[in-house]
Amino acid sequence: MGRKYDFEYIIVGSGPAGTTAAKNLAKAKKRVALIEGRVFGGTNINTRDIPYATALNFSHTYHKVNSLPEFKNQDLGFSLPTAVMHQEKVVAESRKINKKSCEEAGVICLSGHANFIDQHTIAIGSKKLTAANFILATGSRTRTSMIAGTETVDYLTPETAVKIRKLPKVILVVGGGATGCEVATYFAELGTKVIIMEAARRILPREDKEVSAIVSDYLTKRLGAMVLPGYKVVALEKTKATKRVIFKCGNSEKAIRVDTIVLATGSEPRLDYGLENAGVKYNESGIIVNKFFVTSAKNIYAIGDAIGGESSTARSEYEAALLTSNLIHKAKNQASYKGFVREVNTTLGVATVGVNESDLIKRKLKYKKAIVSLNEIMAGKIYHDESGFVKILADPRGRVVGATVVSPNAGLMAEEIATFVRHNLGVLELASVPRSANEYSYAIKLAAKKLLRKK
Amino acid sequence: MEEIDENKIRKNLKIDAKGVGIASGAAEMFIENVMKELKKFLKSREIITEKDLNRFLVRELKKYNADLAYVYENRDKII
Repeated sequence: MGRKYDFEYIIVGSGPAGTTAAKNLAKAKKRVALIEGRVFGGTNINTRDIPYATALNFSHTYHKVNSLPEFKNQDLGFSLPTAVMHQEKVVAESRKINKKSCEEAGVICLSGHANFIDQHTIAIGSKKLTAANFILATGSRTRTSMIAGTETVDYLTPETAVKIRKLPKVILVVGGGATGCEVATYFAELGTKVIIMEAARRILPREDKEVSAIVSDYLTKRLGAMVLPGYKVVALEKTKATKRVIFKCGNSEKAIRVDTIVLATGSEPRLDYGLENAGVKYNESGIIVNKFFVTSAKNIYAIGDAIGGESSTARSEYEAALLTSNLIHKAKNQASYKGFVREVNTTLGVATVGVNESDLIKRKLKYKKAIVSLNEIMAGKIYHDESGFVKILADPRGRVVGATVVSPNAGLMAEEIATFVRHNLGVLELASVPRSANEYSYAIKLAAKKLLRKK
Repeated sequence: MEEIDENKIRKNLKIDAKGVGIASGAAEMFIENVMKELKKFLKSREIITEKDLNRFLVRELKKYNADLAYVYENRDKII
């Protein structure tokens, strides 16, 4: 009997979710195709995690060295084109390694924009392919629809901003969330005058209030940025020489002229590939799935940014691994998102794991907390940076439920605490981990000990 | 396989725009912009279904007039 479909699985999107799913299924001897409509590797490799990490590493390093007392009165220069070229080289190599690992696993990689014709058929150009099942891992893109004038005015997005080869004198960053603050930090560290406008009452509205305050303070006092919370950008207009930005502040509407704008206004899922033809339901937040990632079409699954929620490479990879494990082993395991780390890669790094204090207050849950400021430990003096803190949260039974770290190496410190959150371990276990007193992570030990002393 | 009749689409959009109460001059202007984008969309895809076409047009119309986009999207349901 002939094969009914061309493939057992077709995966649409080659970002972290798509490639993880494709490799896992191929290794389990399924006939798998992976289709990418733009550049292989998706947002993670081409426009977000990897180029961002490279760019911010460069700007953080430059700023740190330039700020050292040992380098006082010395103006260290840099070549931005060289830095961007290095970023492009890292991206190209990552893309090559990623594609090679897919092909070596037995995945058939295809390029072209996929469009559903029906529940089992997609079209790439004039070619039709059929599959028993589909996994949609189409990711997300910058959302600009709430600001008028974006069709006629040139602007940068967080993805394109870190690729420019000439620094503007002044830059307006619209959006003071994690990405907006990161972009603002990048330019401010390299010497550009930065203005940040955020519609909410504080920047980083998802984080605890003291995080917003400390990052805002650092941006204004140490990096010379202008931080404007409560300013909502509503429209962009093109003028002869520059751009006009119209914004609302309180009840009044005002305008300023700027040369360079970055819209860091959040992301929206990519959904424009004939989902209706396949009977897949979606809304503006993303594709609608059940707890096993099944869409309204029973043979079509969706994971990662395509289903909405907080954009995260770790989450995308986790969902792909879970879904494929369920498919291969015919299991019904559900996702547990405990212990995922959320990071903001500003000069003063921010990382949150588990719940933060704002979440606990909103949910009216009882908790205990302890905060240790970095000026209480030696590392602050050794490494010339005493700004920041470690906050640990525990439930009434003494289990670690969350932590917020504002510090150099915040991400690494939070990942360590993630083990305790994910496995319901206690403050006693956290306090008993041996640590070097000269490192920032010593603040974790001190915070855990403070919590133990609280009744 | 049916050919896409751009003139028919243009005519239907003008009728809907009049029904929503948009001034004919303004409607003419943005409908032409939508048709320009439609030409690009049709060039970019070899196979297009009726649902793809509707989705595209509704998305483009929303940039100019939300009421017109709604009416166009729901024209089969509105009596």
